[in-house]
Amino acid sequence: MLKINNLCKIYGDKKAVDDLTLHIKPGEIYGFIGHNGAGKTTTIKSVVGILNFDEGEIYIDGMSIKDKPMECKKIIAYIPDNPDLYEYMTGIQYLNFVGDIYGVGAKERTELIGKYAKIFGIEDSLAMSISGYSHGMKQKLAIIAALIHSPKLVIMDEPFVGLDPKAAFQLKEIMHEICSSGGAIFFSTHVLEVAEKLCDKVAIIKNGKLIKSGTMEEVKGDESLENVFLELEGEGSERNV
Amino acid sequence: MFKALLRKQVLYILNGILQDRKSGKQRGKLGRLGFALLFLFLFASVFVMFMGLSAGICDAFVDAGLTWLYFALAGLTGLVAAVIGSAFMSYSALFQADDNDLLMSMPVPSWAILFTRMLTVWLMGFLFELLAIAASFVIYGTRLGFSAKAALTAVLLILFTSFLALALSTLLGWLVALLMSKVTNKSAITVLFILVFLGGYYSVYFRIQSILQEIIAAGESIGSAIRTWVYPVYQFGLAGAGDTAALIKYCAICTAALALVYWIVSKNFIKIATANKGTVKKEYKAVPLKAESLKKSLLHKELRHFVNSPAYMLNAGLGIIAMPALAVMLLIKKDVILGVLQGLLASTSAGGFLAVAFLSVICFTTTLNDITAPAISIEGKTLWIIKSMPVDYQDFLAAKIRMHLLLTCIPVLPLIIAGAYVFSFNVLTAVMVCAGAMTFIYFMACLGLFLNLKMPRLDWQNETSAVKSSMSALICIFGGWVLAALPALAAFLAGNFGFDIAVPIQLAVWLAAFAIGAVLLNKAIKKQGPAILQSL
Repeated sequence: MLKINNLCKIYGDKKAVDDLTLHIKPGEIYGFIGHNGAGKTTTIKSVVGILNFDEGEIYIDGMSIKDKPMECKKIIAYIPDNPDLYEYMTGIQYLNFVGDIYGVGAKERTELIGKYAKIFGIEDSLAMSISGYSHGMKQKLAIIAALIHSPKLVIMDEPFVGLDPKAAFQLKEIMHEICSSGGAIFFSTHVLEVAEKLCDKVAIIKNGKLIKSGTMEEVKGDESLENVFLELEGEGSERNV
Repeated sequence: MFKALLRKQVLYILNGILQDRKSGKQRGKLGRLGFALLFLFLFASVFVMFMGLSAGICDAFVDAGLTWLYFALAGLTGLVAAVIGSAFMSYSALFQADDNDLLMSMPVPSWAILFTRMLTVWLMGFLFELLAIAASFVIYGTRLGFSAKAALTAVLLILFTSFLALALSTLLGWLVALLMSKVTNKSAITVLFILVFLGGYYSVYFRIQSILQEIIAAGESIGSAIRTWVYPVYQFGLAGAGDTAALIKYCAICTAALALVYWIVSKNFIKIATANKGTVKKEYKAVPLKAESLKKSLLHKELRHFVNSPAYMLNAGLGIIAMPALAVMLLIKKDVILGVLQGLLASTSAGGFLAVAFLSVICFTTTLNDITAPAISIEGKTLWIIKSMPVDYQDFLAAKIRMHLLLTCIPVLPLIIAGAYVFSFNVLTAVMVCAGAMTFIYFMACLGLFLNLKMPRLDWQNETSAVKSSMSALICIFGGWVLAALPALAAFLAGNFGFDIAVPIQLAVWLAAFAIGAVLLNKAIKKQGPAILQSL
């Protein structure tokens, strides 16, 4: 579903992402973890076509994001870490706009918006201007907007930040639903407990380089993901003292 | 702490000039030089305009022994220009900055936040009044000689007038903020409030000719009115004419006014800045949604942004009201205008001057709409939405041009029709003027978008600064004026040099010139636009 081959992204003389290779298959929930500034967001933005990259290739469902960006974007959905949405629109206007862009039929979008708005508990607030939404409500709206075109691949940057426990639970359920219907999820997180429980596979990135990846068992073995991560980050010994 | 705040504010102001928005790096020497030259050109153009105004009245007033009145009018012009220039941004810059919550959560006293924010408003007003007042002193100096005392007086008057302008702009911003804290439909009320303010300003502006004639005819009685009703302006006039005591009084008045306003506003700054900005809470009732085509949806997105942003409407769309208003004025004042034109046209040998000059007037008026000039900047942090969606960047950019055309081509029609009727154009001339105007509008729409793609500002703290302070908007306004004047200027020169060029040919030449410009810019947008957008 998603193939990242030897990705490199350079800012000035600094390699933000250095020779990163990851393959995500249909049905997988893939976690992406790393310290602040490790290159997670840069990788994600490159995958969704927001950011140009310097070397390597990214394939989505077999199509290159460089060569066929429109086709790739049609089948993916992106939820950013900080949902800056169009504050001059109401919630429903924004969702309708997204529906138009992805060419979702009127009947289908009405049903899906109704379904997801109810799940996330914002159905009464959809007539409100987004400028009046809280951070969590904006996050929920961004999630609904990402789901209404039934994407095959969902890419999320810190999706649980700002969500209340109920919404976080619902999102996890939806992630499982997408995967069981043949889709895939690629998301970054700092909440290692969530990654440990939710992900089939995980990748750890440090200073732009992939330092470990594989199934959850392969990466953590008998230890907790937190311990493995801290050891790989070079902080494990300090923590154990 | 205060120093740090001040540094932050200065950095924010300077970033627009010193920083390359795309790379985030400081501009190179060549880039800085280019910006400096551009600023100089824009400043020089406006300065020359003010010099022309001053030159037109200087001799008459000085000869009549009313030197103080000459300076008083210059001071008044400077003050009005400064207030108009800074008033639109004072509300948003003082009370609606994005870093409000951040700064207020820090151990920073509110007076310091207010003070540093006022710096931005002051700078904008200062730039406007500097040109008006300095021009009056330069013209006066060329007629009656320069002196060190006059130069020092000019510097002090310019500086302290900027304080008075800041006091007035801050007061207006504060009043708007107070009003906003009470109403629900903020966009409409803001626009209405400022339009009433503008209406008052323009009603005075359009009467300025008759007011000046009245002043010259009855200088002493008008002078006494100024003395009585606009005391600071009177003191400004006396100071400009060389009265040191008046200079001290004027400086004291300006300082006192600023201190008073600062004291009033700082008293409830926190309360206003943290007032509940919540919107109307309407419960959503699910109804079947309607699907639109991608292009229509993108256009509607742009229109929604425009009508929901007072800053965008007021700073980039005033022509929507001004053009029909001018058409009505043209019809009402038909006889007066024709009378004046008959006198003027008798002195020029340019046969088709009127139609070409009218094209210039229309083009000039359409430059009040510079909707595309900040169109990329105002996307701000939301640009990721379009970039992550399956949207062809060409469609995204085209929607911005289409909105500019929609909101300019329709309002300009009444003006063209009124002009064709008042000036009795034949069908061919009317059609050619209309085509020329439409092509000019298209050209300006492309120019604005192209410049904003090259010089976007996405990291703004409030939307007004994205709309008002963007370099692309400044170039479009001032550059648009110069371009709009070209047809009339060329016709005038051609007439004076004895070239009798038929009106349709002159109009066709300008139509072709604007069309070629528009096509070239459109090609450049199509070729470079997507790559630039992707790099932002």
